[in-house]
This record gives sequence, structure tokens and C-alpha cells, in this order.
Amino acid sequence: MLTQLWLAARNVRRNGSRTALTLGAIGFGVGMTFFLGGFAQGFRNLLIDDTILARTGALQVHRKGYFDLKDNQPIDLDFAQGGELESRIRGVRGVTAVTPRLVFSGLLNNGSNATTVVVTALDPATNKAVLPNAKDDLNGRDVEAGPTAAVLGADLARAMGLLVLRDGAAPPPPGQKPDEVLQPGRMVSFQAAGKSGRQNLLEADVVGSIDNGNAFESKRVAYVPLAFAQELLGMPGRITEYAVAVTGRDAVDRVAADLRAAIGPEYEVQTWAELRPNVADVTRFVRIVLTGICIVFLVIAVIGVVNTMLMSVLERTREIGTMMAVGVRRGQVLLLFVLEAAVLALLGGVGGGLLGGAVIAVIAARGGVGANAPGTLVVKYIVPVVPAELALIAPAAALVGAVLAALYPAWRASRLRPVEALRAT
Amino acid sequence: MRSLLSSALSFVVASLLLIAPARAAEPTAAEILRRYDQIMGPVNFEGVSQMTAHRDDGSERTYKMRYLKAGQEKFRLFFDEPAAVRGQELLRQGDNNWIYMPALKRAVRLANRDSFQGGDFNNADVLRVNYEADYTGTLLADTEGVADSRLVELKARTAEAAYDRIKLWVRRSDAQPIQAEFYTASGKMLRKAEFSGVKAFGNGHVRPSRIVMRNMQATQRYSVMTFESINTKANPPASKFVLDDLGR
Repeated sequence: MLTQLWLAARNVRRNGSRTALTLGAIGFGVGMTFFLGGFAQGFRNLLIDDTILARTGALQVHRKGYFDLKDNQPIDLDFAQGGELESRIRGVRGVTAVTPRLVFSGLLNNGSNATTVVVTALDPATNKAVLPNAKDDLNGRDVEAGPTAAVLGADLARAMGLLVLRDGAAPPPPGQKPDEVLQPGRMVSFQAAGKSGRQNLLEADVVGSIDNGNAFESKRVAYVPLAFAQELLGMPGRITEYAVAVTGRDAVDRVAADLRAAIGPEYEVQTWAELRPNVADVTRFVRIVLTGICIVFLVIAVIGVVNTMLMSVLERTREIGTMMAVGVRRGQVLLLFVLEAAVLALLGGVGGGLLGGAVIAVIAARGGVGANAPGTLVVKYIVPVVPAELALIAPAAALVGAVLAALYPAWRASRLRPVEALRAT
Repeated sequence: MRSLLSSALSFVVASLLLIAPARAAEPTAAEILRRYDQIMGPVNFEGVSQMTAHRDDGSERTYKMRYLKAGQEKFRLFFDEPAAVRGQELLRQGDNNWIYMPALKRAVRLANRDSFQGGDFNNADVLRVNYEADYTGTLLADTEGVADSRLVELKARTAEAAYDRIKLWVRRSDAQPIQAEFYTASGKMLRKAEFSGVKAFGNGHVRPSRIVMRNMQATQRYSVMTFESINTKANPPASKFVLDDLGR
């Protein structure tokens, strides 16, 4: 077998141009797979990180039954802040930070207009630890600016007449960020019903607006300090959820399982994928499309191998005849050609992979590729990274593909009749 | 003997007549509240009404509705106008609100009452009454310039009371409501209601036929509600207030 391998390797070297072409085809196939796969993974990581670090946090803890009713923002499924639940959450391995929140719906009034709004009340002190990127899309100051500070979605702020074009600025052409300022000193009030229906109203100062590209949210979300909401709703010391940060993207599911076990049946844990199923859908979709594209590339590359091998068999008919005449078995001829294909695939696959990986590494080192988050003017960076499974599977697939592809030509070679083969030119 | 008896009787009757008007002249705050609940929220009734909602952007929309009420917690609206909402129904069971959409043939839980029909109905909270149970009333001496009225200040006494404080003006003569102001715990006036057009609706039921409801925090928003007919003898059965009945 080893002799065969060595022979195969030598044979591959004999016809330089054909070998180079085949190596090029396989290398290109595997290289493109690495390249596209790297970008797909980078894009996926960007989306996931955006969700985990700026929107929902990796995990959220609620009272049991809250998730099914979450679109109603039920404040009667509340629980006490701090205490045993919080320490149990912190005690789970993999949890890096915890922050309490209260989510409710109410009316936002500006004195002449009112509109419904979904408000998330944050604890400024701990929110940063769980959602460090939450301020990326913030224009202005955060809720930690004061006890009555509020941040509104950009469309909401505009509709309420709080976000206006800077004096003298022209309306921007579509796709460009408008030059806007928040009107200073404008008070708004939040009106909401407490748990049993008692209406209350508190005035707030709009200090910032947030534009994260989600038009649906931008029209109807607001953020206030936790204590403000607790006073408005008459719920001191009560919250509706904990947002939890974990060590890394890949630890989310494991920590979720441990957390569920730790906090007991009265509470439920949701991962970011359950909280933002559309993001999970997009990442899955990207993965599927990319897998399809990579399969196409590999198939094309492997077809190149078939072609080359057939040519090779044709050209070496006399050589094969000689081999058989000298006593080489049909089986060994078959193996020889298959091994030649395997060597080509291995070299081409590894070479292409290294090349693709190198290009990815260079791009990543430069900070990745910037792209506009859809619908906004915020630029996010896609840092490509080749996922480990891809780095192993792609060359392996090329190898297997090439071997299978070579079977037919190799079989043809082994079926040659020595007498006729010797007589061929 | 008979003349003694009859004069005793006349004496009793006379004194009663003397006392009774005196008592009727000065109702207690609690009595005013009870009367208000009777006028504005008879326990069971069905009726037809119209509401014109004036919105933030200056536009207005007029709804024509039929409704059923049973007790304090069950309420059902059938929309007839405008054409865009014809066939829709609103069901309230306690704190849960459901809309029935005829096109979908399904009822959808309303997440936020304030968002129903673009907030047109968020002023209608002032029509939900159970003042005697939820509030403690105090008669105030000064009626703040409203002629011929009594002013009662209501303080919330149960958790279910929607407003922390209400100021209610009623007519001296027949305790029909004139206007009301609705306040939060933080002292802000959220709503104001003006009652007018008192008329008899049959079965001895006399009440204002027109109510203007203002949102004092979003002053561009106000609604005018007119009651066209009210039948207090109607006793809608409980089966009319379940989800399955919507659309039938």
C-alpha cells in the first residue's frame, strides 16, 4: 500500500500542468468554501452578539408562564428583586452578570399627543455588565443620566416632536443619517396602570434616542430607570425579568440548562434564540444557503478531478498495459489511480484551505468588513472566522469526493486489456 | 277614638313629610355615589350608542355601537359603523379584553387596551363605574364655580380603583352628574368628563345622554359619546359574555 502511495505521488508529479490544473480546481473549491464559510460565520456571530450584547442578553429569567404572554407585558407575573433567586442565578457556572428589569406597556404623553409605548425599565448600575453594546445605537445620554431620564426609540421621539433636524440642516437624502438633535428641556409623561388597574402618571426627561434599525421597535419602545417604573406602577422592589450574560456564544444552551435546574419550576429561562426567533431563523438560513453554495463549489472541483483522471487514463493506456503485462493486478491499478486522486485532493484541499484561511485571517486582523445594518445608517463590522468544523469537513469532503470521482476512471483503467493497451499510442 | 287615631296618623304623616324633604335636601356623599352608580352604570343593560373620537392628528372617527352589560365585569360591544370595523366585537371579562375580527372569524386578546382602534377608546375608562365600592366620598363645601351643584371628592379605597382621586359635580336637584375630573396619585389630572343632555331612557331610567371625555395629558384627544337607547330591563345571559359567542 505504501509503495502504491509513493508511486501515486510520483505519478502526480509527472504531468505538471495537469496536476497544477487539478490542484487549482480543488484548491479553489476548498478555498472558496473557507472564504464564504468564514464570512457566513462572521455574519452569524455579528447577529448573535448584537442580540446577546445589546438587546436581550444571552438568557432571560421570568416567572413561569410569562413568555407565553410576553406580548401583553403582564406585570402581574412579577417577582421580588434581589434575594435568593438572584444569588442562585449568579451561582450558576458560566453566568458572568445579571441585571434586573421591569417591562410594562403604557402611554407616552407629550401634553398634546399620546401614544402607546412598551417600556423597559433598567438598572443603570448593572445593565452595562450584561449589555455592554446597548449604547452603540444611542444618540444622546443614557437612563443613568438621572432618576427621571428616558430614552425613546428614534421614530417615537420624532413622532413626539422631540427629535428634530438641527437648525439650518437640510433633510437628508434617503439612506443618509439625518442631522438631528433632541429638543432640550421637553418633558414627557409616562402613564400606566399598576397591577390592579390604578392609573398613574410620572413626568420624565427625554435624554436620548436609540436607532437600532428595527423600525417596528423604533416606533414603540422606551427605556427608563428601574426605580422610576417601580414608582409609576406602585411596585417597589418588584421586577418582571432578569437578563443574564454568559461566558460566550457557545455556552448559552449549557448554561440555560444549568440555570433551569438551579432556579426551580416557578421560573422559566429563555435563550436569546427563543426571545428573538427571527435572528435564530436568519442565522440558520445563512448557514443553509452557505452550505448549499459550498457543496456546489466542491462538486465543481470534484468534477474537475473526474475529467483529469479520465484524461490521465487515456494518455497512460500504454503505461497501464505495461504495468499489467509485468504483473500488476487489476485491483492494484485501480488503487493506484484512486490514490493519485486522493493525493491531488489532499494537497489541493489543504493548500486551498490554507490560502482561504490566510485571506480570512488578514481581513479579520484589519477589523473585518463594515456593512450597514439593514435599514439604518449604523455600520457594523463582520469579522470572518472559519468555524472549526468547516476547516475539517471541507478538505475531507474534497478528499472523499475526489476518491469517489476517481473510481470510474480508475475502474476503466483496470478493465483495460493488456494486449490492446500495449498496442495503443 | 277614630278622630284621635286619624289626627295621630296625620301628625305622623305630616312630620314625615317635614323630615323627608329635609333629608332629601342634603344627601350624604355615599348616597351621591350610590346614585351615580345607578345612573351611569345600571347592573345589567343593553343599548345603542355613538362615539366620535377626536384624535391627535385632528382627524375624527365616529363609531356606532350596540352593547351589553352584565354586572361590573362583563361587557360586550358590537360595532356597526364605520364600515371598516363593522362586525367587530369587543368583549371584556374583568381585566381581559378580546376583539373579535369577522374577517378572521377569531377573537384576539387585546394586549393593551389603550391601543384599541388607535387609542380612540382609551378615554372610555371614565365610563367604568363602581364608585360606591371603590371610593370614599367627601362632600366639599365649595363647588368651585359650578352653579347649582354639589361637589364630592372621591378617594380610592380599593386596589381596583382606577384613579387615585376623582372630583365629581352633580346637580343639586336630581344628582345627575355634571362633570368629573380624574387624578393620579401624583396629582396630575388625567381625564375630564362633561355630562349633558339628561333625558329619560325608559323604565324610569334617567341619565345624561351625552358625555365629552377629554384626555388632559394629550389635549388633542377627546371623545364625545352619545347614548341613543338604553334598556335596563334587559338581562343578558352569561352565555353572551364568553369567547365562543363572539361572531354569532
